[in-house]
Amino acid sequence: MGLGTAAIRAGAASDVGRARESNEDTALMSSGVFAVADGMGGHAAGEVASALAVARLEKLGGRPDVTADQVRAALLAANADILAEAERNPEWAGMGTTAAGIARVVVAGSAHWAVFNVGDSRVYRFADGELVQLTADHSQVAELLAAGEITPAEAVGHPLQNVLTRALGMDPAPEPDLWVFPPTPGERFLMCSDGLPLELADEELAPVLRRQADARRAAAELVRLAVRAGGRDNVTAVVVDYMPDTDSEVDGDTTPRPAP
Amino acid sequence: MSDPDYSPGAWVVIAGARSWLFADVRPSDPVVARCWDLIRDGADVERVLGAIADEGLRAVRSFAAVQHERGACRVIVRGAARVNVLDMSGETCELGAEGVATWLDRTVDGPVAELRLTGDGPVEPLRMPLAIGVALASFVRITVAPRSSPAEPRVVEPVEPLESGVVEAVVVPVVAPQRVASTEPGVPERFDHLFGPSLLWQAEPPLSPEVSGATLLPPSDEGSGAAPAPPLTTGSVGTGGASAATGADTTGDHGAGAGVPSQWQPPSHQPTSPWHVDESGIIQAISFSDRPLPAPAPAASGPAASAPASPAPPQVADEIPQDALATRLRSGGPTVPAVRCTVGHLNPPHADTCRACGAAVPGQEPVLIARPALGVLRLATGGEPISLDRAVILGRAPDPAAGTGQGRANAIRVDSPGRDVSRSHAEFRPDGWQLVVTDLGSSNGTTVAQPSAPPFRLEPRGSAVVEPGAVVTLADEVSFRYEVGP
Repeated sequence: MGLGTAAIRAGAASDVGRARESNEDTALMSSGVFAVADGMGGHAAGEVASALAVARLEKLGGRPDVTADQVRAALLAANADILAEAERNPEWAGMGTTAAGIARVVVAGSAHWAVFNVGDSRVYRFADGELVQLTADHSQVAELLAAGEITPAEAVGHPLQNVLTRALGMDPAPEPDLWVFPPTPGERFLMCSDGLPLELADEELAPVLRRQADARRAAAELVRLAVRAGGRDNVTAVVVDYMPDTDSEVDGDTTPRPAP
Repeated sequence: MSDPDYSPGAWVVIAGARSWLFADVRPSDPVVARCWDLIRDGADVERVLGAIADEGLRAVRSFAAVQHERGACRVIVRGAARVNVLDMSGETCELGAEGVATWLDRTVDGPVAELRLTGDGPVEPLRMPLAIGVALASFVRITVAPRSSPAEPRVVEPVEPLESGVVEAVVVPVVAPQRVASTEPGVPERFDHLFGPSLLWQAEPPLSPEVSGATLLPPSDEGSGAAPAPPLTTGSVGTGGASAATGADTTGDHGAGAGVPSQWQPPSHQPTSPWHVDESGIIQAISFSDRPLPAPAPAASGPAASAPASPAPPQVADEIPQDALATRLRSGGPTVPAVRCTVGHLNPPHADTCRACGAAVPGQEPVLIARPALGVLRLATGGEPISLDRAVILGRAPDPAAGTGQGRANAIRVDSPGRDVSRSHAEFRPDGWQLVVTDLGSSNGTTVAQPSAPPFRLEPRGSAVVEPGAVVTLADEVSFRYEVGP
């Protein structure tokens, strides 16, 4: 049985962009939790909301026995924190944030990734040269697109681009998207605020992830490219590498047995 | 701002202290009451928009929603509604949404003097005042004057400097660095040593006009030892630079070098160091070893099916978030018709007794709800139960795409030391109120034992509906029980 203690390498970068006055994104690189939160709300409220979300997720880090339910509970607790903080500070009323990322969780006794999302920040998985968006955006445009009411061409620059259907800071609480899958050595994850896909198509993200082996450099280059391409919003990227396992047999062939 | 006034008409106007809604909707429509609650309570126009979107855009074909705050005006227009924005010099700008399938959402910067909202009906010459409340109108005028008035109780100046508020809100405790005891192969693993401190950061305002792109902070320095880290604080009002990048390196087998703390420095207002991240970076490692982890404490969550059927408090009903249905309907997610037992648990429409607690289910009209988790799968050897809120693919190295249906399935790895369990072995898929198990062409088969019935083996790629209490065994090795509890 392979022991395979594998390593995580992670890097993050963020930029306020060219158009915004402040950066309302918050990123988290913790032990076992990686996330991006994109806050919204005037009077610095967006920064507060995204930091509150990350603070809850951060508490999951460093624990060996986190469950998927606890990730969901952390997101709902962050929602409550944001509402409570807005209640105490009326000028922050209506603040909210997205939250998207991955967390290492235990399911059925073994380690898994839990991908979570509320809002329009994204988690991508890059493996075997292929980039796949794991999260579905909780935006009006994405839902109209999914419902077939608009075409992909109409979605670009659509007036509803910024209208989220789910975010932390909502009452009643939003339903977080959450799903789990086992880790595969060699896979790479990208978490980003919407400022990145706003400027760079998926086809532009993949070559950077392929070329830049170092997670920090990959994150920094993605952010730099997005700012150069327009930087209309805050841009934040977190790149997480699950390094190849040295001694894993999990992918070996099944041992067939005669049926009883 | 001064009180708005309006002309009587057929549309509904809802006036609040900071936002207004003018909509072509029947006054008796529930969305009116919902929007009034929101607007009266000072909710953002975004929340009002959310209420309308939840109701379905067909219910409110035309509306204008307006919010004015600190010089900026947010205007959302749909359908036949129009908003004229007058600035201080008398210039006007008309916002309408012709040809827009959904709605127009515009923020008007600069000093705004007046907003005029019109619908599709004729405007009566009569003008009547409206401070906060609901009326039937053909025209609404909102005068935005820079004077304080009793009509704006919601505009509250910050009592304390913003900075202190921000810092207080986001103080984050540091996880104390932990030493690596041993990571040698073969040593029974404990995972806590692998988890170092964490790093959290947030960018700083404001942006310098010329953005040069992300800069790279120095790489992490493993040798700086494990000094205790100060409390983390984030968020500041400062004149930091525009961008930053940082990283975290880890290798799980380099032994005692792990555990260097990262530090989140209070903002220093140094323009060159916008992120205030300590250069030592962080060291962390995560094991995705195939070994089972130490068994979590039982009964941490998810009560077993055998739990006593004592009457649960009525807040069971609140477990389904009210907007979950709207979310599901919009996203095409699963919904089911449901009735409730006397205790409040959700059940299929024709249930006589509660699937969760056995209580009676009185006759009632079913309601459509976002489908709740049908129950859990509990591994015979213990551990956290697996929630059945979506399909689950079980196997030794399960492929999330190996399932039989559409929609993203959870893929859950099953420990199989003898490799008897196939990579993608079996799928559990909620179908309405039923749970269907499917063998995914496994090498060593899938066995189903319904409660008080002899076990039978599924055909390769065969399916069966499993009843609560059923035990499903993969390759005669790993068993799961389907449990439905309150």
